[in-house]
Amino acid sequence: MNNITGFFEKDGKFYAIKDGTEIIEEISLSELESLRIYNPVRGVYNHGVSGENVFPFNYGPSTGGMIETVDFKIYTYGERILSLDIITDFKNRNMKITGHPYQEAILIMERFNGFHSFSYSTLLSREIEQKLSMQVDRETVKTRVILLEIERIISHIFKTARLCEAASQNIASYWLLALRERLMRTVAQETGHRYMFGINTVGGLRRKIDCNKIVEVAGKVVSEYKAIIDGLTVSRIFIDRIENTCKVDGQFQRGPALRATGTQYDYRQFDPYYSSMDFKPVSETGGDSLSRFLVFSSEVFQSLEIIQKASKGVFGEYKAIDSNQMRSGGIETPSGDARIALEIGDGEITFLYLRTPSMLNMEAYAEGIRGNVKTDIPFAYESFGLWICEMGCIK
Amino acid sequence: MILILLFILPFLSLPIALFSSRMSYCFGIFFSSLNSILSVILMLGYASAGSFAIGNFSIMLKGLNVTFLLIISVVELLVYIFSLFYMPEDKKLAFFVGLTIASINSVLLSGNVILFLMFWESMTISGYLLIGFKDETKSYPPFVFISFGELSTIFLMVGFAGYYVSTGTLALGASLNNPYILMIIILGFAFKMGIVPLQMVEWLPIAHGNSPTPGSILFSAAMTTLALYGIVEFILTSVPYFVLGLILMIIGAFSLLFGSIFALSSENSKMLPAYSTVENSGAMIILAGLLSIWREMNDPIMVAFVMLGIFVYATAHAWAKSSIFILSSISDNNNLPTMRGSGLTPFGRVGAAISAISLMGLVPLGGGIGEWLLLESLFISSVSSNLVFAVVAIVSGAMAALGAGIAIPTFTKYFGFITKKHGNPESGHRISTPMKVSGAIMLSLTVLAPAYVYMYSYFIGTLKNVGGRTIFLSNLKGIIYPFLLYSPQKQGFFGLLSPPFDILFIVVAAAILSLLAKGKERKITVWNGGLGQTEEVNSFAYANTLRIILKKVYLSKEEREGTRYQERTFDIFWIIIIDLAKLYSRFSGKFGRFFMNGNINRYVQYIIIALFIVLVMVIL
Repeated sequence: MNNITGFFEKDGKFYAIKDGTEIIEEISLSELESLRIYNPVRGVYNHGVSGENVFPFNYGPSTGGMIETVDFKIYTYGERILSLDIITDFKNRNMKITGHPYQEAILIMERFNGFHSFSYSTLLSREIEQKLSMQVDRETVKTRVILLEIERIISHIFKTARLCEAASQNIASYWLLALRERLMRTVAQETGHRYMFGINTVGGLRRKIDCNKIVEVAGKVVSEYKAIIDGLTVSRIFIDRIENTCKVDGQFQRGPALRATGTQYDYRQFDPYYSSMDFKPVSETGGDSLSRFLVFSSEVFQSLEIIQKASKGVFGEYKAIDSNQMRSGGIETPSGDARIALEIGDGEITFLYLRTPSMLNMEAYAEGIRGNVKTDIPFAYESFGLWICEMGCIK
Repeated sequence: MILILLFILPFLSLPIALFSSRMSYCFGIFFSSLNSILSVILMLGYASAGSFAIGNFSIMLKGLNVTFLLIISVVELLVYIFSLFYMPEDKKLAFFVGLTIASINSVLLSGNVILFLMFWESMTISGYLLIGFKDETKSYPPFVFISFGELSTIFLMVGFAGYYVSTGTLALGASLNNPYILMIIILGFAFKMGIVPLQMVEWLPIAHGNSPTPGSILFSAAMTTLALYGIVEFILTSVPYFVLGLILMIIGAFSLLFGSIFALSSENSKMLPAYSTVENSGAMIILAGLLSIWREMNDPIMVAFVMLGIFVYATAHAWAKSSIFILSSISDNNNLPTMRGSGLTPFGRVGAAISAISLMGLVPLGGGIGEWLLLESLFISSVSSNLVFAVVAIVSGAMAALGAGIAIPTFTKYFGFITKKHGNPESGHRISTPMKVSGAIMLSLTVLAPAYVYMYSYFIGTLKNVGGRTIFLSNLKGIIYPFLLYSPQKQGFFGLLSPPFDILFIVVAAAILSLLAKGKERKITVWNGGLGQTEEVNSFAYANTLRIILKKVYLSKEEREGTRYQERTFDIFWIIIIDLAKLYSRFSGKFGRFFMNGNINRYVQYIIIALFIVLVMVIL
């Protein structure tokens, strides 16, 4: 695996982040420009086409179908989507982390994508810990793994609910939202915040968290989730809408969207936190919305297994790797792996680059939706678990 | 005397056209109005024109052609009014329009098959000249028109020869008892109506030949009506045949459905109504089939009801179609997505809307009454004790209903995009007056619906071979006579329709609503997701859903060149005909090179074989 998955510029030089390795390599601009993901990583999603009777049709930026602000310019001559421009910066999102002390930086990072806040705060904390060569105790690792997986369960349940809503399965949708709410309330009770804000800190956790209650509720929620999934997978109405919708063949996308094309790539395979888990990614081969749905719904059950194993298991202490090379850490957020490049100095962040999964998945969505009809937009969109907030400017 | 005058008057417009086209049009308006009034008087029985004959020159105005004279005269009136306002200076055009109209009228008045055939051919040739007289016209559309026109003439020629052999007379109205000959004659007429799979007869000369609008109106509204006249005339006078009726119903149902499907996807402002004519022709052929069957089943009331359906449908179609073709000349550009029409006066727009709604087949407008009569006839037939008939009626009824349903988005698209307001409209004002006249005529079919129904039903009762006089107007359900139209069944009433009450209800409800809503109107700017309104959905996009759903019917193909896209749809029957023509051309080339290659031995062999075949045929 040496697929380039991100790049950034620093001091006039360009660096590439690759899959399967934390080592960052220098790269020439010309090589970079020929990359398939050159534009998406820069936040550019222009695919304008023209032709006889072709006209651009706006969906969004403020529309009932989306929960975030995004403008899709659909090129069409009626019903069929020929191509799609995505304008993510209709609402300008800017976050500045450089220049902030560590703790403040973590607080800001938690608010980058609230639904995946624990993943991002863990990513930043862990990267700072690496830079400071800090040792993290086994209890912290255990709690972080459990909460990461809880966040994944919550996120995947929400994604399933959104997909159900798009496919007019309203009962399933509201049931799923209720399940998510139940789990989030338990999380709020045990951690102090429903989105797990303010838990991570450099070198550990800010307070001691008893995960037993969360694990117990998660077990009940997931068993109910299974009943809903069993119902959905035999519903012709639901399956017909997502099967063969937005088929993606590319290999550049991240997370469940990538694993739905048959590629068994999950950052947890390389994540030292999961080294004692014997982790095997879930994958499907269809590449369509149905395959993505099957992947993330199976991941909910897999996450529960991880949680249950983690709550009983014994973790080793997590120690930083000594390396002088520039390196890029990563974490498997519920939407896919996020990669970070960080530099610190004088107790504050001096450089930060973040490649989020949505940056690449959005491009995959634009590619897959071609040739589909307009009514497919919501089913396709919700199956990717895309977050516009992850596409803002973060420095 | 009147009859001779009726015959001669249209021809008189020809010399006038050589001096002044305006004069010729005005003269045309005069005699077509005269014809219309006369036909009404004749239908109501206040006078009779009878027939006139010197040797083989025999003309008549009695029976069926009286009604068709009314229908066609009004179409001609609209053609003349349109031409007077739209292109009053073109003498050549005035001449060819006059010639075509004179031929059409002569066919209608013909009393025997020789005269009929002669003027039928003259109509085809004048139609050919009307399409092809302009220098810029492409050569193949007039060619297609004349070749299919000749195909029709050949069938008619063979059929009429058979008619003469079978009945021993050349005069129209003899009882033909050979179903094969009848079928050949009917096919000869049906080819002219552009039935599936020969629908290109209808659309090609109109759409691709840049046929002038008067030509389009005459081909689409008058000639198809004339062909219907031929079919009904022969069905009515011949011995009825059940199977023939079934065949006509099936042909009609397919034409109706395919016509309406292709009409919706058409993006040419003239091709769309031309396809719609294929659809309407299909409906009328179904009615002709029903006529044959109900005659065979010896049910005079149903025969009269189906006849009423034919008359009302033909009337509504011919008049509304004329109006729609007038509307099509709102812009010189024929491509709907890029058309910049509009510029119509409000009344002109109302006129256009009335015609468009009528062609959608919506009550209470004329087309809706026609559609109701068609569907009612099919529904009544579907409860027939004859299982085969019932099944064919149900299937045709379903296809007719589907076709009629598709006609709604077709004409919504047509009217909506053709009259869409643009910054720089073209020529709308020139057609406003003809639109108002045609709109008023169409509206008369609704407001005066009982009068038309009365007149037609009354007249149907006087027709030979039809049966008793049944006037399908009633005073049931508290509705005052004669505002209720009913459909008959053995046990009594089958269905009811009251166009004047419907229109009254719509007008009253609209008036009350507008009064109640007065002053409460609230205008808001269009919400486009927070952006300024930029995109404009075009007519192509409007119909594209059906193109995607019926991909296999349209053979739609997406073509992509880099970042440029376009989607093409094809008329599968047209492709087949082109392929056949290519195959035939190749075959005749090979045949020519092999047998007619200048080799004397071959020619001698050829002559001997031909002689032998002729001898065999003579002996047989």
